[in-house]
Amino acid sequence: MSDLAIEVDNLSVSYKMSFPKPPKEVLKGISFQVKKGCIFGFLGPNGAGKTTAIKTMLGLNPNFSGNIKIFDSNISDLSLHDVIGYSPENAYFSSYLTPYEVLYSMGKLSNMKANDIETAISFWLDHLNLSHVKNHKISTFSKGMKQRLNLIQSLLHNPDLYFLDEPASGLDPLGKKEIKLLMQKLKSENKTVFVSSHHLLDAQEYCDEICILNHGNFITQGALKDLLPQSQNLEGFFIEKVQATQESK
Amino acid sequence: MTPIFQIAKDVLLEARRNQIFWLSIVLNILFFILFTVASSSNEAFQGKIFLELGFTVLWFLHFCLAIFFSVESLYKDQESKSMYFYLVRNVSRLQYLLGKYLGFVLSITGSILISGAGFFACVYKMQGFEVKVMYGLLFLVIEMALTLAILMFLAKVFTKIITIFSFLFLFFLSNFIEYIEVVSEFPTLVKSLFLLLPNYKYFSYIDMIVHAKVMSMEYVYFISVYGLSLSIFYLILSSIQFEKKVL
Repeated sequence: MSDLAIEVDNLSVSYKMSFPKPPKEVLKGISFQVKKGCIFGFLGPNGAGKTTAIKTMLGLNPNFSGNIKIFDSNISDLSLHDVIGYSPENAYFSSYLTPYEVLYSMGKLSNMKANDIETAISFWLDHLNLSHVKNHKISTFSKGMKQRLNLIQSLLHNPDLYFLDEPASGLDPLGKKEIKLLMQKLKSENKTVFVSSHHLLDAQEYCDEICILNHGNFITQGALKDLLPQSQNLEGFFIEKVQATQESK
Repeated sequence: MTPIFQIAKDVLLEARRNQIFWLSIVLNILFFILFTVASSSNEAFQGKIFLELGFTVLWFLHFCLAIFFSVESLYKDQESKSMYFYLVRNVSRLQYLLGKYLGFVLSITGSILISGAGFFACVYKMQGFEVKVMYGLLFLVIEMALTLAILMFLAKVFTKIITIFSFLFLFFLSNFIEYIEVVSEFPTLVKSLFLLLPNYKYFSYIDMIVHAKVMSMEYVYFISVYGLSLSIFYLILSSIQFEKKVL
């Protein structure tokens, strides 16, 4: 058994454009590894290809070249999805349903038992301050509340690997603090978290390792303590690296 | 099978809370009341007039409901990315597609049964028990199941507006296809097209419900097998298209 949770080797993705434009290369042969139990920051400016990479790793994009392995298994193995949690950026459930109905359905689809689903729903709704609106329609929710529900559905089945795409998107400062606490909790439980974020100062607090992409190209990967010289923050390091690659072009 | 039923259950829950369903049921009942009054002016044909008008409105409102509910739900799933929540779990794309389809069919069937009960009660009051009303409701469910399968396929290929217009184009084309067959210089090509395209001309059952004394069992079997096979054909096409789609 390898100690790697994710292995991505030479991943390339192109999107077809409308005729007569040529296909757009979104990811250009990127490779990286994520160790088990690591909080891995996947960073890059807008349009770097972060979400495309995450969706490809989750099997939502069948058109790619290269190799992707999660816990030593191929991503086409559907049973692998029982140990994965995914919180997409700005994704919302049907406004006609309530959080309880949505989470119960998600629990069932993750092969959880009814009692476990009830316990997990109560725990996470309490933990992320949504228990008071458990039976309210999602249409009445603010953006931040929807984002919390989005996070809860990824945590509900207690997976070993989490893909969190901009988890703090739409959250107020209190919500952002909750995300930091959540990261600490997952870290203490030895879970692997693959997180894409633009909040670099926050990411610096909870990430063990980072990987930076720009325009679909791999820029760098490593442990934060090795990459960052003392007194430099992640934001400064990130801007320096991204600008350097833009200038070299 | 569990994921399919779970997804269908979510669609049913959404439908139950969607005002468009309740509006359609209320409109159906209002029309039935109106037609009861209107048909009473001609005592000799009261039952037939009511049957014809009632079935026409039942068909029209459910036809619109099937288009708008399924198209709205399918595109909302894509736009709000809520389909990701299902597909990143232990749910295959085929299971997701079948779950959505089953949910749509059950929702429309539920609405047909509720409105149909009101319709049946009016017919019963006018001319006693009429088994052909039951057959009419069955044909309507089969027609809507086929309509939903075609919409599922189109929604996997086109944008929302093009899906609606291409479906309406197919619907009208299929009602005129026999005339095209007569004038076409390529009869073999048109005949093969005739088999693969949904032929809504086969669903002209309202005349039969109104005028036939005995229901033709051959037609019942034919329309059931035709509706089912063509629905499966379009679901297979949707699945092929959906499997290769980047989400």
